[in-house]
Amino acid sequence: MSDNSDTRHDWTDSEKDTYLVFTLHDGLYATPLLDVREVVEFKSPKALPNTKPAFLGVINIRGEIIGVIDLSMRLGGPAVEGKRLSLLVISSNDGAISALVDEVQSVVQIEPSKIEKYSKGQNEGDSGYGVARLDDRLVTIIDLKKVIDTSDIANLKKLAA
Amino acid sequence: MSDFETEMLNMFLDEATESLEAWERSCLALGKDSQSDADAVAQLFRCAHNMKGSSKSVGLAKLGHFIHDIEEVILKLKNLTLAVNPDIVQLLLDSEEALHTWLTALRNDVAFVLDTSDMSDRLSMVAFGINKKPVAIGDIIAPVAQKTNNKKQEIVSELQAMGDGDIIFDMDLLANIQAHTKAKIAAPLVASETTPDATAATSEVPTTPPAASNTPKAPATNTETIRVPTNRIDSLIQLVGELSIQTAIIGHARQHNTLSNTVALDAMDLLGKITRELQTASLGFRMQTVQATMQRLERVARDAARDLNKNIEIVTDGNGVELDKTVLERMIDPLVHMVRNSLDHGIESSEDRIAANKPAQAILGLSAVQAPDGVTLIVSDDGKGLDTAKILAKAKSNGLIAEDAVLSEQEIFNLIFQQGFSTAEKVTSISGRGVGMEVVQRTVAELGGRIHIESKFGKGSKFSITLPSSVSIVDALLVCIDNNRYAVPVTQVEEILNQSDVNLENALDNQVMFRLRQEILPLQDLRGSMTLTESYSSLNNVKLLNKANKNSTILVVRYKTKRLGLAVDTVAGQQQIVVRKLTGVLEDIAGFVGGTILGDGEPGFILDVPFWANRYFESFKGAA
Repeated sequence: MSDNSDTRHDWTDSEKDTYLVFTLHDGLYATPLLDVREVVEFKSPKALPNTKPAFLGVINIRGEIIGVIDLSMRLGGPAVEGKRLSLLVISSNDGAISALVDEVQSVVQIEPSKIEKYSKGQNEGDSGYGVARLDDRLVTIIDLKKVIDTSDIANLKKLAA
Repeated sequence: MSDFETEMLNMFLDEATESLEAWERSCLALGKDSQSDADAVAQLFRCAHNMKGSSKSVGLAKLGHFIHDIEEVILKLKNLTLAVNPDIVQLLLDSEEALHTWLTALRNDVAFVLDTSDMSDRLSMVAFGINKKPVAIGDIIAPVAQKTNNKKQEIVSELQAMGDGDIIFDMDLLANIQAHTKAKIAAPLVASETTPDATAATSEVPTTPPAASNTPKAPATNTETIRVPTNRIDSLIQLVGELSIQTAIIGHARQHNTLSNTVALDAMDLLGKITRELQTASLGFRMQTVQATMQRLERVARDAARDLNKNIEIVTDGNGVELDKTVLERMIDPLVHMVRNSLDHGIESSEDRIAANKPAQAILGLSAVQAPDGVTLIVSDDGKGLDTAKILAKAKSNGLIAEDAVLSEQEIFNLIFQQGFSTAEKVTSISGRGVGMEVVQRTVAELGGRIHIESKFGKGSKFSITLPSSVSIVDALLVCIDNNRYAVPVTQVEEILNQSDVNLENALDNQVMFRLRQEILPLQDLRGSMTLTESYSSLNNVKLLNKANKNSTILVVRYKTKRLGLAVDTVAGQQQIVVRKLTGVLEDIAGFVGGTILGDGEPGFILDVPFWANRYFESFKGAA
C-alpha cells in the first residue's frame, strides 16, 4: 500500500479539508477524500460463510482481495439499495477494505471550524463522527477508517494461537 | 544524517552481516586439520580486515577498534604464533555474536556502541597473554598528567613500574594528555613484541566519537532487504523485454483487426509462457540457500554438546538447496529445538555409548534434499532412538490416549508432538518442557509441510520435515460447498472418496462415521458449517448427516495423529494457485488461511483444514 499515513503531511490544508460526499438511503455523509484510495463501481461480492450480515463478501480489484462492508448496515441501518452503488476503497495499515454506499455525490471543501465533533457515549472521546452544515443540509462526517477498523465481521473466530 | 550516508551505512551493514556468516562458517571449520585451518584462518582474517576497513570508512570507529582487537588474535593464528584450540574458537564465535548484536543494533540506532570491555579483555589475554587486567586508565593518566612537563625518561620508568611490557606512546598525545582525560592509552602495557623505535607508530590516538552520535537516534532502515545475484535480475529483464515484444505484436494485430492470425495467436501463447517464466524468476528472488540456517544449527549443536558434555561429530549436507526466505525464517526456531532435543534426549553420553557398543563420538546429521513436492530437511542422530514403550506409557499416564489404545508405530512417534508431552524425566535448560515439539509441528503445518519420523530404539532417530519450497504458489484442489468454490492444498488431502462408495453410519452424539479399509473415520460435513444460505445459528450444531442427504465427496485429511473425512459438494478441479495473505478485518474470519484469485478472476479462499479438523475433534472431546 503506497499511501500510508506517513505521506499525509505533504498535503496542503485545503486538500486535507476536502471531503467526499455520499448518501446512505436519505442521509448525507462525508468522509475525508484523502482516506479514500479509489472509488469503484459496485461489483457483486463473493459471499463468505460465517460472517456477519454487514460483511457482504470479497471482490477482486486488480488481483487484490478486498472485503466489502455495507456501510449502512454497519452503522445499524438497512442494507443499501441505490441504483448507483459505489465502493469506496480505503487503505489502512494492514490492508484494504471497501465500503458500499448508495451514491457518491460530490467533493466539497469543509473548514475544520465548521465541523462539530460529537461522541456517541459519554467518555468515548473522538468517535470519528462529526456534523457539518452543507448548503441547507446537515452532513454527517465519518472517519471510515475508524468505523471499519473496529468492525467485527466474523461470526466464527480463529482460535488464539 | 544525509540520505547518502544512510545508504552507505546500510550497505555496510548488509555486507558486514554477510561477512559474519562467512566468519561463523570459518569458525565452525576450525579444528579439523591444519590445511583447512589455514584456509579458515585466512578467510577469517579477510573478513575481519575488510570489516574493520569499511566500518571506519562509514564513521564507526569504535566498531573498527573492536574488530581490530579481534584481528590481533586472528593474526596470531595466521602467523602460527598461536595454535587453534577450542577456547579460541569459542572466543571467535563469541566475538562474532557480539559483532552481530552490534550490527543489528546499528540498524535502529546509528550511534549505538556496544560495551565490549569484557570481550576486549578476553581478546587481549589471548593475543598478548597478559595474566592480569590492564591497569585502570585513571591510574596511568593521573601520574602521567602530573609529569607531562618532566623528562620523558621519568615518565617511562614510572609507567614501566606499573606493568610488564614495553611502552609505546604518542608524544603529541602525551603533551596534550590533560586535554584528553577520557583518552584511552591502549598500548602501553601490552606491546611486548613491538620494536623499540616504534614510539609514535601504533599507539592509539583517542577517537572523537563519530559525528552521528550527536544527531538524534535515526533508524537506519526498517525494510527487509534481499541480496539477489545479478544474473537473476538480468534474466528478469530479458523476460520483460520478450514480454513487451509479444505485447506489441498483439497490440498491432488488434489495431489491424488481425487478432485471429497465427502471428497474434502465437504471441498470445508465448505471453502465457513468458508469464510463467516471469513468475518462476521473480519467485526465485525469495529463494535462499539453506546454508546460513545449517550453519546456525551447527552452532547450536556445538554449544549444546558442550553444555551437555557430549561428544559429537556434525555432518551437514545439501547446503546449496534453496528454500523460500520466509519458510527458512519460520523454521529456524523449530529446527533449533529439534537439534537440541536430539542432543539432549537422543544422543547418549560417551560412557553410555561405549557401554552400548557404539563409537564414543555420536553423529548428528543435518541435511537438506530436494523432494518432489518441495524440500526435505533432515535432522538425524545415531543416539538411543525413540522408546515406543516409554512414549506409550507416558501418553497413557498423561491421559493423551486411552489405556487400551492400539497405535501403529508412526502414531506412537507422532505422540511426541502432543501438547504437554515430554519423556525426559527431568527438565533441563536445553529441553524437556514438553512445549517445543508441539510448536515444531504447528509451524510445519502452518507452512503446509509435514513431518516424518523414523526411529529404531537403540540405533537412532531421523526426523524428516518436508516443506513446500515456496509458500506463495501451491497446488490446490478446488472444492465446491454451497455453490462457493474453495481451495484446499493438495498436500493436505490424503484421499478423495465418493460418498456413494462408503457406508455412512450415524453414531452417538450426531457423529457420522464411515469405514475406510480397516479404519473407522469420523466425517465432518463442511456443508453444514459453511453454508451461505442458512442463518449461522446452525453453525454450532454439527448436523446429523442422514442418508437422504445429497451425494457428497469426501476428502480424507490428517490432523495430528488422527484422520477424518471432510464432506464437500464436489471437487471441481485442481490448479496452481497464488496465495494472497488475508489482511485487516479479513484476517479474523475463521476457517480460511488465505485467499487467491481463481481462473475466472473471482476471488477464492483457501480452507484452513487443521482449523476444521480441530473444531470437529474439540466438539466431540467430551463424547469420545
